[in-house]
Amino acid sequence: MIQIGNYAVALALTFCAYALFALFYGARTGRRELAKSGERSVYAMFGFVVLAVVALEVLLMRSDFSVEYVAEYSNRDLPFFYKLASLWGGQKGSLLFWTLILTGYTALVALRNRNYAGKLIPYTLGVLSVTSMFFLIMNKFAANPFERLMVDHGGAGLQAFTAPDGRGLNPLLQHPAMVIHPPMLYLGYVGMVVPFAFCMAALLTRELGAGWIKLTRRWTLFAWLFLGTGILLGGRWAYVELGWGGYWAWDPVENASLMPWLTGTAFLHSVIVQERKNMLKVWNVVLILATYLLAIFGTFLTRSGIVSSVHAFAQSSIGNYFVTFLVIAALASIYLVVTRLAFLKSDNQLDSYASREASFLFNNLILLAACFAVLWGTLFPVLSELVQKDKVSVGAPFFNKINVPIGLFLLFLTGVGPLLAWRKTSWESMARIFMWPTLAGIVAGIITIVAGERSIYPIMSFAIAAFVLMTLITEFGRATRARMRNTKENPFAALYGITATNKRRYGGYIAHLGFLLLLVGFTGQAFTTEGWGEVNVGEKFSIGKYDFTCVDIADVKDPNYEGMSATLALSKNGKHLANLSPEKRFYAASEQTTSEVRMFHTPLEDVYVVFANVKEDTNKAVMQVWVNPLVSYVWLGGVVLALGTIITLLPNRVERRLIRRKKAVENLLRETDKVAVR
Amino acid sequence: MKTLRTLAGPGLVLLFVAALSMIAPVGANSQSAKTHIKDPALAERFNKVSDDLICQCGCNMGLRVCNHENCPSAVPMRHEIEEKLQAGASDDSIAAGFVKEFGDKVLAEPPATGFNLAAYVMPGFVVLIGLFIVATFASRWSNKRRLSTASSAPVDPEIRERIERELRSK
Repeated sequence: MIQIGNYAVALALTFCAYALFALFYGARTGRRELAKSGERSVYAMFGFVVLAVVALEVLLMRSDFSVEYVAEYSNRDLPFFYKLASLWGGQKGSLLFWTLILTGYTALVALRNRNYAGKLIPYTLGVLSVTSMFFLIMNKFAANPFERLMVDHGGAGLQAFTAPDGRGLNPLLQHPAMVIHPPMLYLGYVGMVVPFAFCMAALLTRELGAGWIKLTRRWTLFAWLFLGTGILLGGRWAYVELGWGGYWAWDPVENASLMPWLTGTAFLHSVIVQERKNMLKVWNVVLILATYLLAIFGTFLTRSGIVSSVHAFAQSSIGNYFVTFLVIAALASIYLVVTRLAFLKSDNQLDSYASREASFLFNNLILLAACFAVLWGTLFPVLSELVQKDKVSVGAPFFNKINVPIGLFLLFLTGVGPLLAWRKTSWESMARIFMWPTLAGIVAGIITIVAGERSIYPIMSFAIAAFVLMTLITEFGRATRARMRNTKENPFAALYGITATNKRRYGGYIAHLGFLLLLVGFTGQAFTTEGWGEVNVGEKFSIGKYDFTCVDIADVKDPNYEGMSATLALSKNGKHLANLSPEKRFYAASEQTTSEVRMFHTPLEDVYVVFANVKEDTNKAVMQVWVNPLVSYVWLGGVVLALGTIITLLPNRVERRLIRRKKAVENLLRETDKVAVR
Repeated sequence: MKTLRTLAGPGLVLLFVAALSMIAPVGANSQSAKTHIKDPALAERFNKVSDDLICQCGCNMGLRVCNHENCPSAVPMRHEIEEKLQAGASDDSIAAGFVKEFGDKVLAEPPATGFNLAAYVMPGFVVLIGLFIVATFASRWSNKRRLSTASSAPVDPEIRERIERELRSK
């Protein structure tokens, strides 16, 4: 299996090199057959990467501890799914997994555009092959997961060795969310390479009209959806597994995933302006290039160890490779944009600041400001060390101070933008359309103040959320009523009807609703209550409105770990709500101790309980408790955001009709060819 | 029925906000999950002081939230804060003690002095540059528009007369 894995990577690299040559040279010289053979090489490259991944998975399943990676990230008693997930549990395996997704995307682009006749697709596949080549070189020479485990036998030098058992997967990664969080995140991160490749191909071929934008939109949305879902799943994992009561710590690795998501969001909005008004062409090119470069930069940040991070398991010395690749990609991008500026002139102009295109501009400005603030804060410790030889830390208070007002302004624009007309909105019409939303915002602010809140940001957050919610209700309400008048449908059928007929618009509004819920959920952090209790069986303590009675303390045993659990009966106003049994676990293979959180969810708040430790002098269990309001809105917001994005991804009626016609024409041509051959 | 429909939107929004406001009156958090200090005022101060510091084990997490089991840095640091608070030390003096021991990197935010000021100024500066660029391009676009409007302004009366004469002659 080790040999199969090694040969598979080598063959994938060979096919990649051939694809690179055939695609670029074939497209440049007009040798269509050569370019076609390059396309076929892309499938072969993907096939061999699949084979390499299968080989590594087989080694993991067989617990073949003669392989360094397997010995490092797996152990005999590791459950099946976590053995599977060990593929992305360490540096080398996760890079191979990255290559799998990248070559998968490349093959998919080739497959979906196999009948495309122009130069754009060969060049796109060529750019994708360049990126694939970089990662395959890493897999082969810098981070090979098939290397044998070697032990230094003193005078005899390094010798192959088979360990009796592995060190096991990091216990913190042994969680269901970790089985799906990295694949989602990778699908998003790597997915951003597709719009980048289309953009670079458009720049190379000077085909900078609407074509590449149309071909790219769904790929970008797809990658953006997965990146966002991956980020949220990471937050969910941190919340349920790390046991500190929160889900986002502004860790450099978290920030690294947020930055391309922010520029990707800006691109998805500004591209609408290009489609409608043929404006912002340079801007869109810059945004998509920046998104890709930030994705690569994020990977570098995660794996180089240049910044301190809680994700220390992924650090290594491969940072230099990434820096080199990043610099080359950035220089190539800048060169192409500068030399193609003449092809990127806008055909229209901004008529008024009170217009939808202006709101998109401001939305972009704010999103980029947020991205810059995150990038600046993440890199400032490194800069500080370089400039003043003194390292400083930039933690959550800094990021919150900068990004909370930015987030609130962005939420405000989410409400304003969709209601403004293209070109220009008159003051009278603005007064009319924003009257109800503004009133809703003011009333919400007053209610929040009357309810006892005095901090400015929570008040503003709820007020703006009410404003935006009202704008969304107004938009859906107006269209639904119009359809009801025309078709005599009931409200639900009319609501479905307007969404189905204009998926991009209403799917976008649903995504905005998701964003609103996310920000409301984030605001809940301002109201967290926390405390601790020291209990033995039969004893109780209270935190906020909740009472906790210890009903049992017991040992837990599993082949993979052992530990203790304390069962607490949770009640409120004398009414029993649930039994919660948080655990303290010790994983022998990795010699690590972890806390298994237990929660009680309500629509408004989570009761979050951690078994901290057993106090030696009193032999009592120490329990930490957080009452976290509105956390469920964060996850709900994520689901709604994803749902809205999926709706916008679905083809509309016109597109479906075009696809059907295209297929019919293709079938007819095929039939005609057959007749001609006969 | 029409009134009901008109009020449905605002009603939904108010319901949403009323639900949210139920969580608001909790007031100041007077306990902490990370300290056994029982005095609510001291526990609150413990939260603030430990939120403003970074754990020094290399995890880059806030001191209060670092969750590493028996962390060699966070556990003794939190214990030191507890002791100093109970001994009557001020929040600033506790932070200053840690800065003396570890340097500025122990603070969760860089002190706003010297080069570190750039950390706070740059994001705002970038927004201003962005606004300037947007305003410049917008005005350039508007100028273009004025020029194109000007070109379609009323034509010279002589030319107009000639066009009309030629049209009539046809």
